[in-house]
Amino acid sequence: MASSMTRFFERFLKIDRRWIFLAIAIAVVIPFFAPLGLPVDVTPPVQRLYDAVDELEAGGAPLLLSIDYTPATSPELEPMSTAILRHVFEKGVRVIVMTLHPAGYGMAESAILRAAEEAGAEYGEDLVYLGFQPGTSAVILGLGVNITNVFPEDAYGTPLSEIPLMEGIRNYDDIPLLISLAGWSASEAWVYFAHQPYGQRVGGGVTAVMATDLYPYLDSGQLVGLLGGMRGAAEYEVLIGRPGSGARGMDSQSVIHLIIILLIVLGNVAYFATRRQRKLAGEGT
Amino acid sequence: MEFSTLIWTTIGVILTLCVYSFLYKDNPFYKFAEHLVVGASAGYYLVIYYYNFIDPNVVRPVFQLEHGGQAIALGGFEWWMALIPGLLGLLLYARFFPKIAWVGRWPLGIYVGGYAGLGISPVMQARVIDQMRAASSPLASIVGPGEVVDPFAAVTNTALGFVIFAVMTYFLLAKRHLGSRGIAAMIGVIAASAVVGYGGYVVLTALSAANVVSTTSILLVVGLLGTLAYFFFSLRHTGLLGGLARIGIVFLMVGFGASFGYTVMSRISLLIGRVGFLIDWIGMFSS
Amino acid sequence: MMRASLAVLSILVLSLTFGWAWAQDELVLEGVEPALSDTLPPDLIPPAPAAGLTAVDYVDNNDSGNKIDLSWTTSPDDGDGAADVTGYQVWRSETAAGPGDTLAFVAAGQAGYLDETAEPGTPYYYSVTAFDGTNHSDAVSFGPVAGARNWFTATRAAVLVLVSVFFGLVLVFTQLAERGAKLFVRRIPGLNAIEEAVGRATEMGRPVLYVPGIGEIDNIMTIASLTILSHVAKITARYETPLIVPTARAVVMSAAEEVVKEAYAEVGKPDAYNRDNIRYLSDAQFAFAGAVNGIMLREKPAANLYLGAFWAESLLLAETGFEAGAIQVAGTAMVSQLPFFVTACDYTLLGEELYAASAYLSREPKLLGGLKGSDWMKVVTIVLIAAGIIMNLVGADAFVEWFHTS
Repeated sequence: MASSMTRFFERFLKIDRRWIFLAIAIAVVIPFFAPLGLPVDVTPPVQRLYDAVDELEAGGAPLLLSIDYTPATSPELEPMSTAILRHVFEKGVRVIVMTLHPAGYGMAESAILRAAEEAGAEYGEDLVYLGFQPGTSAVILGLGVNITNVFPEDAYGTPLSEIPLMEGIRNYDDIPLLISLAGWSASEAWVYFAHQPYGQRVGGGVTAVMATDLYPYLDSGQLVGLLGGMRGAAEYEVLIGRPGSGARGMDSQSVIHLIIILLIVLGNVAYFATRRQRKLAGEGT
Repeated sequence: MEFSTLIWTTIGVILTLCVYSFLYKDNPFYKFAEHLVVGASAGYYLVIYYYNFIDPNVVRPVFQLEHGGQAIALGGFEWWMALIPGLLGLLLYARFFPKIAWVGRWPLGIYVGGYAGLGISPVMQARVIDQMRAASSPLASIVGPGEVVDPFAAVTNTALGFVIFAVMTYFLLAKRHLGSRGIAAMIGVIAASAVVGYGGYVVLTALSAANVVSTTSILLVVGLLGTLAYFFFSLRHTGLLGGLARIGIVFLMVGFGASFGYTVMSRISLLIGRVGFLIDWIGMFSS
Repeated sequence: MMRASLAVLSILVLSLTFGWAWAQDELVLEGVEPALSDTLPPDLIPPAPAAGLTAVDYVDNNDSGNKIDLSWTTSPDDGDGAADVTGYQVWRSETAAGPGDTLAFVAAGQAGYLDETAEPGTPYYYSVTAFDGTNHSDAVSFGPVAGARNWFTATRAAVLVLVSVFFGLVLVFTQLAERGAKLFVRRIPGLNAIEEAVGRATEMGRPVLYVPGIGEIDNIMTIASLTILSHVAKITARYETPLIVPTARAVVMSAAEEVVKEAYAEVGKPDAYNRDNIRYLSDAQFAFAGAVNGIMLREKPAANLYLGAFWAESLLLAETGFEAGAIQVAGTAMVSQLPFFVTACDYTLLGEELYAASAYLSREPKLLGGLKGSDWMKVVTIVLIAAGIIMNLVGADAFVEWFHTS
């Protein structure tokens, strides 16, 4: 004697997942055309990273930005690189960009070209792009001894000794802050091989998936700050006062989260309700 | 708008749609996009690795070639240091010749050994020693340097932590579905933990010389001990160790839940990024 | 903003350059023979030089070979005699000939300077001149001297001690295991699941898919996975069940080939080994995941084993496998990926259970030693944390500070 409620739940559990895909798709698209403008609060890990960047001196010792993400994770991480580069160029802080991932090569190049053009930053004076070297841990350790040992020339074949920005920059001693943006274990590798042996201050920007991996390093001071996922990027955009693609996605994000929470609750209720029904049926026969 | 930009973006849009067609079901369009990605990325990696690594580190130094107007004149030592690793790398191809295939193990051995050596000390520092230091002063680590703690937030967070903990423990220990007595018991456990949590907070704040102490730090230590107990393989999980391990699995599951939530956020972000790309593409025609 | 800071920077650079040029001029003045007459203004007489310059490689607890310690005897005119010395100029050169570049200006009364900008292993020549505001004395020189890196950094003593304790434990247990001591390792629930899954695939006459993760060969999870792969390969070899191993790293592929081939030879079925089933697909994460999904849908393995290091592809793989109806067993120490394996797979080896499984299955003394060693290292950790908390509460901070290593 299945009630209509139970029948609904049974059908709900067997729903064709394509309906869920459709619901999600609609929920993503609508806020693009009708933004809700939900507020974004800034969390302490993001604030700390922002402060660390903000303390850098204009025209002084440079920021080392390692753009270690790939096209696959760029929706979460590209807003971060854009926001950080906007922040440093606006402040006149000089920046050295590199990558530890072969697929990051093009991502880094397009990110700096866009930001430099927008801010009128000059290559060689305000920024330099070192390119890619394989061998993650060996590369990070090598930079602590001498940058030119690892990158004898920049990404375009100019020897580092001929680049004005690199004058007097030998290793981590001359770099007050390092930020790694990655969708894989690169940020952790920077903690292991730059912070631990050399005491280098390291900040991270990672996909939300990886954020929980890196949280333990915040309390212990091994990371100065952390941006987690598109949400972290949106918070950074709020701090520099320039909403970008991170903030643009937050509305869709919130709506979908509500749908998912609803589905999880419904799914669990349906599961327990039908389980009880099944049990009763089982006992009856 | 440059015409070429439009062409390339449109190809990107078509490929995105090909991949998303998999959401309906497996089909030739998806397969085409899949094979294209596999092939194109293999080619891309080959080129990137060759020009960023093999060419500057092996080919140019060994053959003393020029690049960017600079003649490379290496001393004997540097020349050998470019040649020997290059030859070791070539040995990997020995496996194509069954008789000398065993030679290929040498470079593998050097590679594995070298990386293990590089990693041991920093990983020990990062994952064990510094974390141990942070856990030894939980009262300091919860409240970061220069942060002011809102007592109300501290109390509610603590109480919430204990409630989640109680619910999880109850489900784990009960191992059967909830009857009315079970629900009553659970409410009891929640109330008790909230009282213990708040009481602990008050007592510790009174005892400690530090300004504000959060009892979440006790949860942190309990979770740490429980998790370590769960991953202790030298004794059977009975008695005290078994109890601790149970608590450990509760913390593990809470951690997995948080992780899962973050990942959902990540995946949704990828979708939002793609949708943004498609919408920007449509925007190209109107501009 | 940008332009303003550039302007400030250029003014700074220019003034520094002029300052330097000015200092060079002073040096030229040194060559002018001063008249030794009391009637002349005193600032034309250079001060008496400093003496006895020595430079030694400075050794402290954190020295990476970039520090050279200089000391000299102050000029007789410093605080005494003409009493007009305002300071000492320190010069550094890589050749014995010239004074080289100005390194620093040290106030009067100081008889030493620590150069912290030396390139380790480069020999330097140092010179010091006394300066009275107008004139430099003759230089007193010393060289060559080079900085050497330290072998030991005292602030990292904790690392040495704990790594030694850990390695000591591992070595002792490995020795015990090799001598045949019965080392107890508790049963890991779900370990049999791997064998059950392979058994079911055999019954159904369908292949087993073994994904060793997308970690490099240096990843310890990949290494543990290859040990388990050897065990799985022995079972599939016995029953002649096809074993498909897709890999994302070329080096892992060659290692997997070795492992599977050896396992097949060991159970006497070298001919059943099919090299084409150990495949390299792509280094790119999602291209790899897409290709493995393709294998799941087209070749329909009945058992999917995901053991090793996984990142974002974990859910894509496990979800597709679940849809395809395969029995799935996963195991990884990637904490962020465990939730998906827990939800989408029939059994999951959590974190270190992966390593424990590889030790349990193989009973290899080295793996057992490693497992037992890390078990007792956990006890050491718990004891140290407990001690740390107590020390912290009684205010003995030095104990916890000893673990501050960077």
